[in-house]
Amino acid sequence: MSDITITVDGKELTVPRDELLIKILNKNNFAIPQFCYHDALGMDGNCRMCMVEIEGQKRPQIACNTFPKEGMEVRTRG
Amino acid sequence: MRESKIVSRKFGHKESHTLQVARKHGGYSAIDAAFALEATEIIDIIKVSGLRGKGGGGAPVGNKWALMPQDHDGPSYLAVNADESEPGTFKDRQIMAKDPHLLIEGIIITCYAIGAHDAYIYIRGEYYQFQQILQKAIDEAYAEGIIGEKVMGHDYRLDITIHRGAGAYICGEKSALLESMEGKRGHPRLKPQQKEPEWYFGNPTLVNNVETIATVPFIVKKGAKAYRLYGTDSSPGTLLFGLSGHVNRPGIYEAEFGVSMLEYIEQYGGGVKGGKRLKAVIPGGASTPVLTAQEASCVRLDYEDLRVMGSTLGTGGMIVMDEDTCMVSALKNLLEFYHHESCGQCTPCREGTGWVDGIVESLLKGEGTEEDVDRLLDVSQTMNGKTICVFAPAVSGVIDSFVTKFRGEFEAYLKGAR
Ligand SMILES: Cc1cc2nc3c(=O)[nH]c(=O)nc-3n(C[C@H](O)[C@H](O)[C@H](O)COP(=O)(O)O)c2cc1C
Ligand code: SF4
Ligand code: FES
Repeated sequence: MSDITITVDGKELTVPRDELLIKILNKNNFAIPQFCYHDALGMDGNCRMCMVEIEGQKRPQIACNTFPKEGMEVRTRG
Repeated sequence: MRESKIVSRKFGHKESHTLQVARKHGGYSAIDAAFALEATEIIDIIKVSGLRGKGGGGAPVGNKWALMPQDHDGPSYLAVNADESEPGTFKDRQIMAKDPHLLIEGIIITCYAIGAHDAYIYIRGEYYQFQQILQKAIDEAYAEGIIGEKVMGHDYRLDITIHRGAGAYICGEKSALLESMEGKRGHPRLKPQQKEPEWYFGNPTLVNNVETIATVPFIVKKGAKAYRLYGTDSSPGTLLFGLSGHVNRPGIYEAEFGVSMLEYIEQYGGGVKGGKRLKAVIPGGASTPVLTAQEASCVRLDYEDLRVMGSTLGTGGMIVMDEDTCMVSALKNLLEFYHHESCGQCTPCREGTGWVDGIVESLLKGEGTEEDVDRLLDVSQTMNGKTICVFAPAVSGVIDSFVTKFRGEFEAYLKGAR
């Protein structure tokens, strides 16, 4: 699948569009707390620890249930 | 206030829960009108009527119906939400006890409109008595050929099944309700990214409140315009508003949207009990931010006006509190409930409801410090907008309203203050 560009804390990343945001953050060494998500077990979405801010979204979103979109701006620290 | 009875029209008749009495007063007369229309035409009528969900959210009903695919390969379902566990709310049970046939009539039309042949009524376990009345009505309807293989002679099968809940408040949340009906734990599901129907065993399902469904026959029979004669432009129609707490005549009284809250309390509730002064009103079931007497005296009962006041209309079940009410104890009472009822999935909600309950308890014991009052607001902040369902944000709104509007009362409990 084609790659897209997103920014995380101001840093530009080129990522596959079908990869969960939490995996992208982990791979690129953005420290993001996570409790109920594990690569091998998949997503549960209930510990609410992996929340990130996404430009244009009213509320913080969980990274483990979010897929990247072209041009998405993500903030991991407040 | 003019009389506006749509759903409660038959409530006053003797034996109004029986088929015979229901029929005598126009029960099931909307069915033939509905079957003369195309399913999509009914959805359009509901859209035009501006009917809004009466289970607390107030979302436009027609748009929700339109989300149901008409060409789904497999069954579609209707799940009627009769869980009614919101403290201060007791309107749906009135419908089930006094006019269950109106609910069945609404179910038939709704199912036809969305292409469902099976409807479930998810009723809270504590409503045993009302479930019995409702089941009798369903049995009568089967025996008379109103539902079953052919709905009143039309070529349409419809079966209605009651499903009893086991006492969890959260099972009123639509996706938790369906989880529970699937035989699982009543945990709300993660919200989808785009608008879509709910799913029951992987099939599209519509969840609507009892009163919403009971309003449908009137609209289909009399037309969208007739419904819009009541209420305001953006909150059309009526609601079974309710009164509990310190009023002379607590109860359920149907009124149109847009009437003054104070007038409603005076006219239907007979004013505050014992001639005391009003202190506060929780406007629409426990999960809505509290209003001061000052705010209550100028607010109108519709979705928009309550929003302007920083609260919500919720279910319309008003809890009235007189001047002698201790707001700290009142909040404690609510928080105990939420602490007990949090489904426990999300950390901010599971932990947060326990923390705030504990903080208010220590305040009441005279062991609290100045920081505790601010800590309440801080924990509340952590619960807002960060969870799977809106349970925690609602609790957050309740805490904020109590603490900011009645802060003096919380401070009066601080260590050494008494
Ligand atoms: C914590 C929580 C509890 C709820 N409890 C009820 C309930 O007891 N009855 C109800 O009809 N809706 C309840 N709802 C709203 C339902 O999720 C749903 O929106 C509603 O049944 C939809 O019907 P309506 O559009 O006809 O109002 C609750 C929602 C939440 C978040
Ligand atoms: S917000 Fe509370 S009630 Fe709702 S899903 Fe999370 S833990 Fe359960
Ligand atoms: S890791 Fe638990 S919600 Fe994302």
